[in-house]
Amino acid sequence: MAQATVSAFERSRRRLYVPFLVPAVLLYLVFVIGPTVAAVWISFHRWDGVTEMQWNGLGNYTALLDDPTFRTALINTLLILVVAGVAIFVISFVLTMIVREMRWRSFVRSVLFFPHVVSAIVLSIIWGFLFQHNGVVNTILDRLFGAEPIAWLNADNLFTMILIGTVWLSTGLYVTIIMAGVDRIPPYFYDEALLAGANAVQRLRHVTLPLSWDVISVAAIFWTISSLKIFEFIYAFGGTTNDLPPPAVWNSALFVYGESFGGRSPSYLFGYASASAVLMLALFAVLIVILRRVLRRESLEY
Amino acid sequence: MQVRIRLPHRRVTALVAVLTLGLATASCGSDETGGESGEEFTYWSMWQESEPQAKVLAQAIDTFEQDTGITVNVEWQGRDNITKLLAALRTDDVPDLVDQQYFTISNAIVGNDQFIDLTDVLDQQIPGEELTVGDALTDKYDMFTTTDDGAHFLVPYEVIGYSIWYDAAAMPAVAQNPPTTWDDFAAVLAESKAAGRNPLALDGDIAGYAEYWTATALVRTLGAGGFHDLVADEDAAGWDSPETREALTAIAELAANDYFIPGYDSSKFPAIQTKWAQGEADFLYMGSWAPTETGEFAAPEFEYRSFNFPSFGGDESLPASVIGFAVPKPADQAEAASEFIAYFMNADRLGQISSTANNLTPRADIDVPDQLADVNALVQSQELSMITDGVLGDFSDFDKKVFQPLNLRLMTGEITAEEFIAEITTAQQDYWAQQR
Repeated sequence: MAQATVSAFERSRRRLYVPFLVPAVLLYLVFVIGPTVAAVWISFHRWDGVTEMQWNGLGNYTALLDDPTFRTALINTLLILVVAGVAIFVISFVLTMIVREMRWRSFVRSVLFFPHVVSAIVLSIIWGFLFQHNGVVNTILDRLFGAEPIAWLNADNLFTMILIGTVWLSTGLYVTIIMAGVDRIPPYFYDEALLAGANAVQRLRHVTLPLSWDVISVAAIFWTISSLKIFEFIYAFGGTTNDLPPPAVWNSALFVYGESFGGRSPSYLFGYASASAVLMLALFAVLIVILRRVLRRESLEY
Repeated sequence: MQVRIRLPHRRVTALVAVLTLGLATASCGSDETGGESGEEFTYWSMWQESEPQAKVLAQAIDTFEQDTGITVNVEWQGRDNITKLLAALRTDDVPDLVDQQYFTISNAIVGNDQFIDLTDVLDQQIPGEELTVGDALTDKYDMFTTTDDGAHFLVPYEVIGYSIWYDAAAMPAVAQNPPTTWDDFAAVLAESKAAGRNPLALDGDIAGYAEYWTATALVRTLGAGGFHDLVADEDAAGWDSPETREALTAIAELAANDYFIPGYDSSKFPAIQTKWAQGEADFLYMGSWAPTETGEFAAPEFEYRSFNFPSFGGDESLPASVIGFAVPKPADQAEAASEFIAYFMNADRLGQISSTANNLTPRADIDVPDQLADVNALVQSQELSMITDGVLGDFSDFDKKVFQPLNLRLMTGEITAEEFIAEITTAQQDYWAQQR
């Protein structure tokens, strides 16, 4: 729009943007951009949080790559992203397809959403009760099949249980998002597909997926970001009041905590912890850019 | 004394760093200038308000305020009070008094010289008594509370002794003749197993509890400080020795013989110690808080007794720890805080830690609860050693990332003592190489 044609009303409306925008920008600068920049700066130092920082160049980063605990945390983070992510989306689609044709679907939807509403800490405590040695699950298995107790929570199985727990916690949210996308698809596409003899999988592939693609790609990005931030479920499920979970189940968020404030006798390695956080931020930024390119499609109008 | 000028921009950096690490709520405003009533100081307590120790301290604070006119701004912060202190050290909002286990304090504020030397407090007379704080405490606990240079960074008010607990009502034979050597102990365990009982309880999800076993066994064969030295060695050369092998083999056999109660590796604390209190396992190696923590689950006739971790022929020290007061260096009201420390050391007030909170105190002249009679006798008669030989405090990062996970594999029978030695030697060399 040419400058000359801007009305007085339009001009004053534009001026009004500034007071609305400034507080948000300031808050964002102080609480998000600032700390991120500080973390990058701290990551080049050795720092116990109190005394002078000592310049360490890329020392923290090279040490991270040699640290088996960090490599485990990195692998665990990627496992959560990929394995739990695939499971969440597959289950979400299956549930969407089933619930779409159910009678009390808004009620079912609420039930599915429920785990996402309840605090992850509470759920992790419940999971502890369910799966510990003489917990509910082993008791039921014993009553029904006379099975020996299964060590769900021992060192070998703990991470698998965390993956399952993460899927269970998160699926409700993605079912809800995907279902909202699917609900917008006019029913006559499905009627048409049915008349053409399409089965459920074909309907998914030729109707549901293409017509809800924008919603799915947003959900995928959303999952990528939130998977990096998963913390409290692992912390509370794997650890105790004063103790961190075993390092074998740490993800990158727990690694940051474990190397800074976490545990009975914290490590206070703030430079090292910041370096790991920065490295993960960089890795996930790249992942998200790639993901956005891969998921990009012409958006369909209907 | 070096005067450090704290520049505002560094405070911002510190604040920002805290926020970055996701602890935006870490610093709590408290240091309001009260003004007219005169002196006051701020105390960040490790206890939560509902805990018995908090009630004892709160009562002492009340009378202290009446007796001295000094106001105490107490915040019952719980166990992460020192973490919050660390975040606050670069701000103007620093408490004048904190308390915690000695290694938590030393790990946070000793190496970086952020404490006030409390040697003067030891020379203060205890209000209401004819003796000084130092006289009352003796030097028994100096090993926990002083730096290498002899500065006192802590004044202890609670002592923790670690011993092997059992129910004397259920095991009168053990009560009559508690095992003193590892061979005796192994025989008792074998007997218990043969009788179809579960000899040992351990909440294996707390890696630190599992570590007590191995660390103490190593102290027994190497002497106090021996485990600490092993870990401090960048070449990790000491692990392959007959002494470590003896200790580690003894620990590995506990798992190999299935002495631990089933589920010890796959339960949630406090499930296993609760089972022990309910008589489902015979022995529990735990700090002197064991009776208070398990009491509500134990049968009325349960008789708490305990004995020292068995000897391998040499060391017979009692693994111990202390909880005490410390004053951070930037504290404005260090004087008032010191006055309260001396005030609390009075036998009547400190005695409440024993009579009300059921714990041991550092004053030998205070009566102890019946349940703690055995462990108190050990505290008085034995040399003390640091629990985990000080490794948890001095090498916390190594401990939680390298030693504890490997130890858990040893104690669940996943690896043998030989495999443990091979793995920890490499892992420790790598760890120290990476630190350089």
